[in-house]
Amino acid sequence: MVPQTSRTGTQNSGDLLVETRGLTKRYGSRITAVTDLDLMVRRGEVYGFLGPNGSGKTTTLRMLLGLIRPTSGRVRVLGKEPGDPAGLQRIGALVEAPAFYPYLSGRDNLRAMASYAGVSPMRVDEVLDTVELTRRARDKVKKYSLGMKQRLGVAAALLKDPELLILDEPTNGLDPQGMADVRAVVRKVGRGERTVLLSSHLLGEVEQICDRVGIVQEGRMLAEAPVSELRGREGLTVRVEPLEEALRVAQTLPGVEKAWVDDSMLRLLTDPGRAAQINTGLVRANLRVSELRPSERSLEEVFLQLTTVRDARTGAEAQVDDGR
Amino acid sequence: MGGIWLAVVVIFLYLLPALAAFANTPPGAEAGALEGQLFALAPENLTAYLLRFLFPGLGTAVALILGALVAGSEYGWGTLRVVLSQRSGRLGFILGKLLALCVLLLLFVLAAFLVGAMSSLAVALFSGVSSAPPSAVELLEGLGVGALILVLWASFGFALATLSKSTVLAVGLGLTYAFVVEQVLSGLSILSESLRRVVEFLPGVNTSALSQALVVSAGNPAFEEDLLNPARSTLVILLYIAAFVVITVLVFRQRDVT
Repeated sequence: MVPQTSRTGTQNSGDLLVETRGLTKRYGSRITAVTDLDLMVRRGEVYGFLGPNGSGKTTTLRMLLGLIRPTSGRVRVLGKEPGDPAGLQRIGALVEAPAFYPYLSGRDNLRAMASYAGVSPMRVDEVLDTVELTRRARDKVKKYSLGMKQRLGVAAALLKDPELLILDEPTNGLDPQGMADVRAVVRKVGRGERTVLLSSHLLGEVEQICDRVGIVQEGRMLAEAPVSELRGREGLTVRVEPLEEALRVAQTLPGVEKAWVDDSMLRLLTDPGRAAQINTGLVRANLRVSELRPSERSLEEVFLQLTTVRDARTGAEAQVDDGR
Repeated sequence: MGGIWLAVVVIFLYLLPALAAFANTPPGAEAGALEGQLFALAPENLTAYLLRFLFPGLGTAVALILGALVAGSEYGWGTLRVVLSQRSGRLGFILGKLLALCVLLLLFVLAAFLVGAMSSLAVALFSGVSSAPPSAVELLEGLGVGALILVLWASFGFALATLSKSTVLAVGLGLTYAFVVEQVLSGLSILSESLRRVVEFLPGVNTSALSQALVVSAGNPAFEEDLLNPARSTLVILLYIAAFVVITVLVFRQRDVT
């Protein structure tokens, strides 16, 4: 089956803070980092940009900020060309590892960034408080742990009180506590009208904090939809034997829209409230039911089912099955 | 680096030569022997003396390294992508850096002359050498020539660091060119008239010529009369500065920040 991209219809352009059409970036004739990417980020949402390492996420984010020039395609960020000073004034970004002047303290680094951004120095104390770095603000950045540098990076991104916050793998390299702290900060700053574009290769993280997700691989967008829509409708998971007979019987039961086998379990697309009737139907067919429970696919399952693997040696392309 | 610069001026240009002169003058030496050895260090010779040893000379290395550091450090720390994702545009950013570099170099020149003046006065007081001040016109010319020479080499280092995205590579290439390549080409130029004509337009040759022209005009007889026209040397230096700045701006504006 051909990979399917979810379309959400046309949007009022004023609601779209980020819009790309056919965005492509090539390096020379051999390396294509991003291919024909269509991306839409709406005002007020937390958008998860999901994909494995090397899938083109960081390249895309750099193009949105005007750090890299696209090879082709159209990009609008807050209605402006990427890198436009008027647009950048309303964007806060943390791209890749946080970078600071090591000989300056955390506070002085933020003061320098505030000066570049044309922002009042008073914002420095506010953002330090938001990321809980006030106590260590006077220490030189070279003495900071990785987690502290990440939080300082988020603080720098918040200096302009931006409408659009772009975070590229903000929990990269952090321990579980550090990850939890950064996620808490992201949830805090993502409230209200602020829009957050968050890239990550950690599916669980995206699932926890994002409203909509764009899944990208090898520079191409595979799907873009709300998390709930990607995970699909609810259903039932049944451990039953014999499995092939159970599949045949289940397809005849009333209320079952679809039945398939996945990892030695029978999966049914149906209203979970019909569990009792379905159990009765299977048992009456002399099938041995040992487990029956409601189920919803995780984002990880969706991602794995959407992606394709290209065998470089054979040139073959594996089939894609979205399971719906 | 400022401290090192001033320490070199005080210690290597004044203190050590003065101590050597004192050591070489026995107690019963004829009158004027000490003053004769320290004549070059006298306040009235301040401009010629500093131009001889700092502009170019040590000033070349210091300016080149400073220019490379100012441009290249942003690549080494990765801060360029952070700065360029703030409000400022690329042109304003890079011109601002170049302007700040020029101001810094001017301060270096002023500090060298100030410290040199104080050191030469000290030498005069202790040795009996004339303490007559240098000519104001000479001073201003010296400041201008010194600043121009430092700006040339700093802009060269800045351009190299921008092109290579590396401080170390820029310093290595720059110093190799300034102290080795040009010397070799100058030496070989006596063998070929056409090479000599090319060498006359090299930056290092023109900075040396401009500096020496001022030294000679200040009455210092220590150098040859076969010099390039100082006005032409000034123009060549200004053209090189303009070229380095233009190349830097063009590359910086177009390049992807990765």
